Amino acid sequence: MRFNKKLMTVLGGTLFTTTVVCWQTQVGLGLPSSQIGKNAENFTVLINSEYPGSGVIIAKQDKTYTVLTAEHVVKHADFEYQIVTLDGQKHPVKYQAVKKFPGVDLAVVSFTSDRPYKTAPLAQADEAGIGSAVYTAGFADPGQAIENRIFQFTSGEVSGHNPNAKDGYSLIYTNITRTGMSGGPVLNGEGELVGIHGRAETDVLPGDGKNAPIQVKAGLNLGIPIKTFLTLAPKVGLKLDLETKPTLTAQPAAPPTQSATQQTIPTATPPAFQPTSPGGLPSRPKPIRPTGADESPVCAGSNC
Amino acid sequence: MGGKALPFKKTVDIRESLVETPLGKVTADRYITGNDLDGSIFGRSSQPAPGRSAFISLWGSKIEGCFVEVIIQHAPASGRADPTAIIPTLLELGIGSQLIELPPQSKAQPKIFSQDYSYTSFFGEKTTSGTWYMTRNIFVVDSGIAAILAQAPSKDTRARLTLSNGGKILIPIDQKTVSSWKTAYSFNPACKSPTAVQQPASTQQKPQPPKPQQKTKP
Repeated sequence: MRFNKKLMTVLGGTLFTTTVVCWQTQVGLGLPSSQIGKNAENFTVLINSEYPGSGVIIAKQDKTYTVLTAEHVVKHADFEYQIVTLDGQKHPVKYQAVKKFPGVDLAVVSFTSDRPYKTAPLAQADEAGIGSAVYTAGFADPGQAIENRIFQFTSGEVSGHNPNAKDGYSLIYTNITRTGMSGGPVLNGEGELVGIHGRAETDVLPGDGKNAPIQVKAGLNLGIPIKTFLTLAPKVGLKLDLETKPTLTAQPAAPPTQSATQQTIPTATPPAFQPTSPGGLPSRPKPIRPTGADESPVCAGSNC
Repeated sequence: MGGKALPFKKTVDIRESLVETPLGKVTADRYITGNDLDGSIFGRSSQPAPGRSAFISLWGSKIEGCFVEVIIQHAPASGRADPTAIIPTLLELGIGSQLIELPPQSKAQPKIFSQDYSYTSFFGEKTTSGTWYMTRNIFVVDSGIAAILAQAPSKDTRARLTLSNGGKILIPIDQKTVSSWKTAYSFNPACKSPTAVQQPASTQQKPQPPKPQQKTKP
């Protein structure tokens, strides 16, 4: 019983502590991360090409939407790019209208549509402070377990600022990112755009005589602060009706062990398992094969 | 690497380069994949890099018949590779609910190329030397297959290559390329050379390769 009393005391203390921590978290966060994730899903776009990336809708003028992204996402003039919005609509990009920013890895692209799409609110010039919560979003490349390209939203915190960074990548954070999320938003605890994601810190593992050196992600990721965009926008002739808000600093970081995605993106419920009788199984499609395999070869060139 | 100069996803004419006579039509598609970190962070270029592979497919018809050609370019992540491992033994396509199987053309031996290259990382810290390999592979297409491809629904389509080492690779074919198959195979939908079809000369619709004109004696 003495043990139980102690246990109750400990549990009671833990419960109290948990309650206080939760309350503090609710007060400290500007918006619930679930709301930030939902908003981000609305203004984050897939920029489809042979090497897909992400982007953020930042402005709308009449029927023209402006999307901010990383320059390397829309680097190749000979590629065809499409902006894919939340509703699945594919909007072609006129490459002549792509504006690339001097000295930094930023670009804006535009598309026209009659449909209403949300724009991201931009934080004002202040940087997100070290230790403050930030969220990254984008359409990560398929991998071994996640076999299709889907929207991802991850939480982390600002870990540093590098004023001497190459290509403008001075904002450093701890979020998990993947290929395909380049050009996607970095959002603060208010859900405002504080940066554009586009790079990862790497370590180079030395090679030996047989194997080449291998680059591996170090865990920290880099973005270009939105203040860089705001400073350079007039220099590339960009006049936009932007929604800007002052940046809050030093907000409590989101819990590092729980991805905001888990809170915000509802997982699809798998269909109920229904046993099927052997006779009901679909048959493997019968392949159609050409005839005349032994005829003279034909190829695009003159010499097959 | 990557067939950068090719006009992808649209049908273009194949012409006799000296006299511009049309000889056929072709549509090219390209799929590049790789686990190189530079590419994943900064966007991939069409240059060779460790771990990068390119799959270029050519679809079309000529006076002599129809073809699907797949060029595979591969730079191993490290070391050298056995290039025969990237020779495909089967090309499968999913067109609607139909599964198309195209075997390699048995009379055309796959061509294997290799070349050394050096690759400097974006970080500029390391220059890697390696070897990239290329195989050129031709698959059999007859009029029935050409008709199915020409009528394929205009949407992103997937192909599956089975390699000689047993590996299978899924290759997305862009919707624009699929739409272009209609014109690419319209040049010679019979997929037979005029001599093989043996039609009367008056009914032949296909242009003939220009015959060299012989000088007449004065």
